[in-house]
Amino acid sequence: MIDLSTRRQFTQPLTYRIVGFGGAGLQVLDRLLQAGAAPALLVAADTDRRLLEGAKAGERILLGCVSTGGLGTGGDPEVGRASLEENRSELHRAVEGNQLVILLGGLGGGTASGALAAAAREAKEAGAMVMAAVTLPFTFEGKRRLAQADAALAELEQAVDLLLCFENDRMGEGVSPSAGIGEAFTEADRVMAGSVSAVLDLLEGTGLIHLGYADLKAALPGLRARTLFGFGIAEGSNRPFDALARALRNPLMDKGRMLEECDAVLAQVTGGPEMTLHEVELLMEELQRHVGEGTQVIFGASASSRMAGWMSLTLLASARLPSVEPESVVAFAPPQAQELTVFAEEEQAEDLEELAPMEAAVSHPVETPAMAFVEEEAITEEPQEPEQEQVPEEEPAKRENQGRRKPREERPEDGNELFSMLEVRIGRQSEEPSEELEEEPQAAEEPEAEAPEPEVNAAEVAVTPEPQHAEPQNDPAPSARKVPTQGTLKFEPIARGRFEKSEPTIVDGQDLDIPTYLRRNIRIRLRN
Amino acid sequence: MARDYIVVGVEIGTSKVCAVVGEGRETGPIKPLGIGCSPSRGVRKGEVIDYETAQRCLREAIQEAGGKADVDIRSVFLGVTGSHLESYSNRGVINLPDDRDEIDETDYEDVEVSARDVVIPQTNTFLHSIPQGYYVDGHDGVLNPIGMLGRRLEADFHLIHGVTTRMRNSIRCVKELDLEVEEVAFNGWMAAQMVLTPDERDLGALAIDIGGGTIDYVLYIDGVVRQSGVLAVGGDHITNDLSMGLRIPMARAERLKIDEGSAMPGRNDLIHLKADAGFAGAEIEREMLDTIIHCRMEEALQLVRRTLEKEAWLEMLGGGIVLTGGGSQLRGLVELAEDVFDQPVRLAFEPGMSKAVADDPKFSAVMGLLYFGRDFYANQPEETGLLGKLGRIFRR
Repeated sequence: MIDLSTRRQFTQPLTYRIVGFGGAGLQVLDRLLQAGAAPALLVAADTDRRLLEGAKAGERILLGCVSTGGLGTGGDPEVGRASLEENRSELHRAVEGNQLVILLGGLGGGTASGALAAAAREAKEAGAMVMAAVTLPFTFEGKRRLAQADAALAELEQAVDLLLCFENDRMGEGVSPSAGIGEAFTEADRVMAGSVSAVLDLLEGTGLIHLGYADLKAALPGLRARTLFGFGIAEGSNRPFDALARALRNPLMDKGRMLEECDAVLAQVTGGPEMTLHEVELLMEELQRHVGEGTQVIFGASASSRMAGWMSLTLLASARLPSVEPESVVAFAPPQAQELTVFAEEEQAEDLEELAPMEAAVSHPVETPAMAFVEEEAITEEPQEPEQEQVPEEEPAKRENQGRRKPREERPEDGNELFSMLEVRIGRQSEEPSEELEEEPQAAEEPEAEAPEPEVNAAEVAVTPEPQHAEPQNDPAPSARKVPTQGTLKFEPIARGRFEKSEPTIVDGQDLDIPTYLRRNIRIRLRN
Repeated sequence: MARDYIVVGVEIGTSKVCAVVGEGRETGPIKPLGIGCSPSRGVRKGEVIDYETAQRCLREAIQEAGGKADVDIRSVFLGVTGSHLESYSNRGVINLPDDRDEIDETDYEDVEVSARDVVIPQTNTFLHSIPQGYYVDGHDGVLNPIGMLGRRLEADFHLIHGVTTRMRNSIRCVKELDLEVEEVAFNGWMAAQMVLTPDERDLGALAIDIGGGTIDYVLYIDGVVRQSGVLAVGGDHITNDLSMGLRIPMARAERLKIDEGSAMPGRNDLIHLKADAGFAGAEIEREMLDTIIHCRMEEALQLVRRTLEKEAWLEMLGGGIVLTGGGSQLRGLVELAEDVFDQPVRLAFEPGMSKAVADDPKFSAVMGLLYFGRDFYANQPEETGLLGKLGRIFRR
């Protein structure tokens, strides 16, 4: 299992492999090569021998040589899946020994749709943290491809730690109407390549204000969250504004509208050495207008000569999905709780970089060293196990927890507030992990019952800014433990009535075109 | 020599397009000679979205106003608004050349240029630079620096800028009707100048112009503009909310808002909406109606309040808050605004007080434009006076 702790990163740079699947995946690999990625870090995997021969990646894997004869899948994900099975071991070898594996592919066809999820699981077995960047097909590609993409996405979500998902349709919006179809696809590849290299830059780069994996994770609290990604690059005197505008134009950002739902937004600004403080200031000010008031902006900046004249902005965030029991959560979380969280988060943001345990963003969030080993063994054996089957694993923990909690309940801080997942996470990261271990699953499942517990933790964090970090370092890579429950991406229309087609009015992250009573959840009684 | 000025103000608003022809002397009130007003279509949130439709509405309004005033309209002053408008205050500084120590007109212009020397997006241009105060050699309280002796001139300006192309859309709309646009002005400022008395401006006052598509606000402290802004929420939003919340057609929602709506829920009885073509009729609880309106307006006013709170300016409002614009006629709004701002609030014009155009809150901005235009002409050099400028705009 890997240990991605930043402490180790000080001595040892991040090791990673980028694996492109299918036609789209190979295209993006080529883009990355053009952008200066080392071929040795790239792996091309496809069922189509001809395409693969044209690939310039350092390593090439022909999937399903037997089942397809190197002629492709014909758009059938089942064939793609079977092909991967054939060459599973080759893939395993290619990614083995890396801390991070990035999988690329265009969903909807056969190869990527069929192989990606299985490949992700394989990479996890090889001990890596897995990130996937995928595109969803254009609507004009037909219903079948859309359905295949949908199914593949749902499966993939369960298998990866971090998922960046791009809708080709939306990326097409950035292309001028007169542009050829090739350009639309190129744009999609370009956005994807840009985002992948941006994440890599973030993870391996050293910045003026450095952001690392811990920050990445802070921006992605994990459970029940959808990932938003925006990347923008611009040159010229107006570059701060252009970069932001482009970052917000990224499909997942929905022109910045999505940012309102985020707890935390990670913003990494990269520019040439000539980048001025004023430019960064302008950009961040502008960004602040798009996020909600309580949103924490985790900010990083770096300058490099290869960006001379340019300025880029990477935005990464995760939005809360509509909670299973949203009302009860709201009812139990008074405003003080929110403020406390922000405080705790700030502390955490400062400390995280060096000290925080490197749990994967979407991993099962709790662990004691002792417990972790027990659990981990069980899970590494069957990493693909669906969540429910892990319940028995958690049972003893819960029971133990009941017993242990008794004395703590007498503390005055107890019993006040319920913390959301994010808040629980903060408490956990900064406190002795042994005590937290059992809380997490329950907090997710029965918010009321567990309400008092996380509150204590966060409160203590606020008081003691020097949390104990030694223990979490022992934590074996939790990324492989619990299958992440990253929510499905929903693009349901929001009710804006006659303003549907007009430019949205966003203030403090709220879309003011949506009726206020809807946003405030006021029920309107109708007589008929 | 006192001159008569004929000024035409045009506003392409979200709910109405109107043109007003006014006549006045260099000082004193301006008398509206004719007004043309047509319901607006093709405008959302204060900005033109359907060019041709908006232009048709504008043509009607111009023709009506020109006909009533018996004036052939050649050039107009145009009011603009929209969420793209932004503002901030900045100080400009210049040092006089060594061989001169009397401040003259060119220094005055230079200091304005210096104040504008801040980074705004490349796509934007400045709409107004409103002087706030001058400092000569560091001494403040200078009202007019021209002619004073000093080495260093500083000036604070309130700068309003907006996206060039979006402002030019409105301008083009007018120009294609073969009309000159003399000057473009921010509706909110125009309305504020119209509805705030000089006393109120000195004491500190906030003018809020609640239009169909936007809420424009301007804050005066010590007689000068300190803050201004546009919130792209207006009466249209209420209508939209009502239509969605009560499941009634947009036109009925608009009627209902005007006839029955209130920003302060209190009573609860049933309102019967008669059936109509394509609408089966409905019974609506007044409480629901008022709740929807209350939510929307409370939120909008809170947002305005929040932008002003950053500088603790609300503590300095001796003159209180003045509401104007068509939306200010909403029942209960004054009470709501008092609750939100915790300040005395008054309407610019009491309903039913007078039927005159000048006393209709809907026309505050366009009336303000007339004064703005009059001052603009009055400040023009003489030679372009009657023969030049007036000759162009004013031909019977």
